[in-house]
Parts: sequence; C-alpha cells; structure tokens
Amino acid sequence: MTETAEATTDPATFSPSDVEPRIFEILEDKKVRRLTGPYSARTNEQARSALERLIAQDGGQVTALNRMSGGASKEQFLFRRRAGDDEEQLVLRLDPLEGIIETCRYREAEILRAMRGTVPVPEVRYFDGDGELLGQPGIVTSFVTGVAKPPEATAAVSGLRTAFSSEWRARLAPQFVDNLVKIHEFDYRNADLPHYSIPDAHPHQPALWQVNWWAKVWQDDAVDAFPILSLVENWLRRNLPECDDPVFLHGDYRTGNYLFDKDSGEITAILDWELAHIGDFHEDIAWNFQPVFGERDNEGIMCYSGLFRREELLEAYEKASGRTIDQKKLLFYDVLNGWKGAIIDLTSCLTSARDGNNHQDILLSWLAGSAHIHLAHISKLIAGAIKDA
Amino acid sequence: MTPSIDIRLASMIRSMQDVIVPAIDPSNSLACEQASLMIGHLNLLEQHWRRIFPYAQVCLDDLCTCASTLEPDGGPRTQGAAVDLDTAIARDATDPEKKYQDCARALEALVRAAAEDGTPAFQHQLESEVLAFSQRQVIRDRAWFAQSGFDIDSENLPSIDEVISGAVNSLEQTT
Repeated sequence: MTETAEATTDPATFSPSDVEPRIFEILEDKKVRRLTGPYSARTNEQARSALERLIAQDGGQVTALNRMSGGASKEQFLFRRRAGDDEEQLVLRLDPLEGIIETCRYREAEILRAMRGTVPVPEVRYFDGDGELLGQPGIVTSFVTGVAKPPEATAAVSGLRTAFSSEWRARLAPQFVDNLVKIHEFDYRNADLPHYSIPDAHPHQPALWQVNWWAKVWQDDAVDAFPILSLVENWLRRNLPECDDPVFLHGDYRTGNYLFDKDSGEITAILDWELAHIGDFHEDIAWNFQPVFGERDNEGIMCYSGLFRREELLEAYEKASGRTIDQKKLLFYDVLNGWKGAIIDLTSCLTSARDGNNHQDILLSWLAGSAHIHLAHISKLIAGAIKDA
Repeated sequence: MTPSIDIRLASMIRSMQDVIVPAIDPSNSLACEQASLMIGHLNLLEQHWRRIFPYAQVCLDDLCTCASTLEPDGGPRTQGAAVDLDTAIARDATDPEKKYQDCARALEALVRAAAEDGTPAFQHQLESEVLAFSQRQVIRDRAWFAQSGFDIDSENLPSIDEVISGAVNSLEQTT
C-alpha cells in the first residue's frame, strides 16, 4: 500500500492530474498498447497452449478447456488442471488488448487474495500480471459454482436488468448488504495491497481521484463529443465532498457481479473486482442507483440491482454498518457513477470496437447505446441539484 | 439501388435466424452470443438507416438553437471557444450527422473554456442552456436505441418518427 504525498487542502487548487498512481500508469500504458492491434479472440487451442506455459511450473496438464459465456472485459475459459491424481476445475481470465475498462491484474489478484475469509471470492491459483507466459496479462482462479440470476429470471447482457421475484429478493438482499458492509469494514491498511494507494492526503482526495480518473479517460479516449459530460465534470469539481474515513470499495458492486446457489440462495462468490479502490462508502451504494442496473418490481417501482427499493437499500446498509448515509454525498456519488458509466460506454466500448482490439467488439458496440440512460440519469440529477441550490 | 437496403438487411436477418444460428455449436457460447447480437444490430440498423439524416438534422437544429441563445462573456479562452462554435454552426454541411458532431465538439469546448475564464453570469447561462438541450437530446437518443432493451422506461419514450417530427421538446424525462 502506498501512502500519498501531502497535498493542498484548497479545492480551487486541486490538480486534475492527481490520479491514483497505478491507475495513471495503466491508462498511459493503454495508449501505447492499443496501437499494436487488432486483436482476435483466442481459440481454445491458443488458450490451452498459453495455460500450459503457465501451469508447467507445477507440472500440471490442461484438459477439458472451453470458453465461458459473458465477460465483456476479459476472455474467460473454464478448464481442468490435472497433476498426477490431483484434478481441479479452474477459470482463466485473460486481458484482450483493450477492454470495456482498463484495469490491473496485479490489483485484482491482490484483492482476491486479501478478501479470502472476509467475503466469498474465488481463490487465485496462478497469476501472470504482465502476460509473460500467457501472452496477455491474466489470472487463473478456482471455479466457484453458482448462478448470476435465477434460472427463470430475465436479464440483459452483463447481468443488466435482472428481474428477481419477491422470494429471491428476500433471500439475496440481506446477503448483498452484509457482504457490502464486510468489504467496507475490511482492514486494507494492514493488508498486502502494494498496487493500491490510499487517498488520504486531504479529505477531498477520495472524490478527487475518482473525478480525475474518469476525466482522464474522457480526455484521452472520447470518440464523439457530449457537452453534458464536461458540464457534469465541472459540477463534480465544484462539489467534491470530504471523506475522513476512506474504506475499501468493490467499485462495481451490483447484481450480475455475484454468484449464488440456485437451490439454497446462498451467495457463493463476489466477482469482478477490477474497479476496486479505496474511497468513500457512498460510492458503492450509489453505483446501484444507476437505472441500467435496476428493474421495476411487480408494482412498477424501481428496484435497484433488482433487489431493493431505494429506501430499503439505504436503511439496510445503515442498520448493518452502523454508518449514517449523507444524502448530499450520496447525490455526488450518484452523479459521479452515472458520469463514469457514460464515459465507459462512450470511450472504451467505442474505441475497442472501432480499432478491433477486443474479442467482443459487437457486444461493446451494443453496450455503448446504454450510455444515453446514464446521461438521462445524471442530467436529471444535476438539474435537480441546481434547482435546489 | 436495387435490391434495396431494406431487402438486403431483411435477408441477412433471416439468414442469421434460420440458417446460421441453428448451425452454431451450442457449446460455443461466444459464437452463440455474438450471433444474437448480430441479429440485434441488424434489426437496429434496419430501423435506423433510412432515418439517420432527418434524425441528425433534428438534433443539429436543436443544438444550433441552444447555441444561438448563448451570450458568451469572459476571458480569451471563452471568447476563442465561442468564435469556434459560431464557425462550426455557420459552416455549410451536407452531412448533418458530421455537422452535429462538429458543433457538439465546439460546444463542449466552450463548456470547458467557460469553467476557466467565463464570467459567472455566462457560466450560469451556459449551464442552464446546455442542461436543457441535453435533457431533450437524451430523450431522442434513448428513443433511437430503445429497441436494444436497456431502457426500463422504453414504453414511455416517443417513437423515432415522433422524434423526427420534433415532438420531443414537449416531453418530460421519465427516469
């Protein structure tokens, strides 16, 4: 874990280049790497050969390899590793040249290892952070059984708009909150997380790092112009909230990013830790308020992550965590998250597809159309905030 | 021009649905998913291709109206960005989609410039006008992509033909 240098506490002088160091590094690396495309989906044989180079360290063999469905940002393969009488089922997550988001496999492996025993996560079995053996950075984890949606439920791609029955909501919602609270209570300061930094130079830094991260993505990768995104960035910079007690955040905590047992309803794994970072707990809660992650219940009321009405989520979180939710900070992070969602859709989704640098160009260009739902959400929030000011 | 784009797109969709998708190995999940997305994209293209010019023209007209109400006031960055926006709007263009993008880029640059050296009064006016424009534009763009299935309020959106007829200005956001 890296401590950050002392910085100014005057919001007017905050630097737009004050980004978490590792994030800045990977965003810069992407600019060079993307020029080496295009990228083609790995065949099963290519994936098997790459894995055998990695697993040869242990003398293991790769068998029964098949591509897994899903994976808007990574190529994913399911396979069995056999070594003597030992056999286990494993999952390979491999970076394409460019994905829906630019993230770091070192960070992902570190947090998966650190979270063991705190919340259910897959176990890291092999790791190639720079892609020396796999050809691209990748991570091999244990295979966790479970489903991302009930067999009878409907959902769009990437777990968006999952529709749960009231029975499923009753089973999953308490676990969803309990696991979120455990993540936020995680003692990251004493964990082995060398690729993460703590935004504690001043109380605005947790929010500032997020604004600067996604502003840099927009500045580097915008394909078409959207004046509202710069307008929202200005509003975010004027309204940075303070945070005196940064916590560990999942960064993409929503339905679609956890698995559960379809019979018992028990959550078996929290997945997709790529956007994890240290910041304000309101950020993870407000991520669920993005309309693309919600669905209406049978009374027509918006159900966030398909599980909670708004007040239900807030009350459950406060009760389980003992924290008090600040509505002003919640609004800031609701806007920040919608802005971030739109930027993801309008940058990497489009550049990956434009440049042919992903195995799922057609999925990314499809997902990009959801940007307008984020933009509708944030323009409504900002209009309300300006009216109330 | 014969056979028409409509006939060719419809043929491609039928080929995907009736021949190609059934022939895909069900265990090849990537191919199955991408084939479904291919059909989705083709259906959207079938809906969009004939309407893209009038759609872009409606968006462009509204953006230009928004820009024409602005009274830029501030330092050199604001003044320079305002001149660039005027130039983009005044430029003759046969492609309204491209001109819309050029003007949107110039308007976004003005938003950034005004944050640096615009007067408070102009910043306030700009924020108000750009926000109002964006609220209309997101309704249009959500309607344009409603068929992709992401929007939980798609039934409350206007049709693309209603958007093109200019009915959006009287509609309220629903989400």
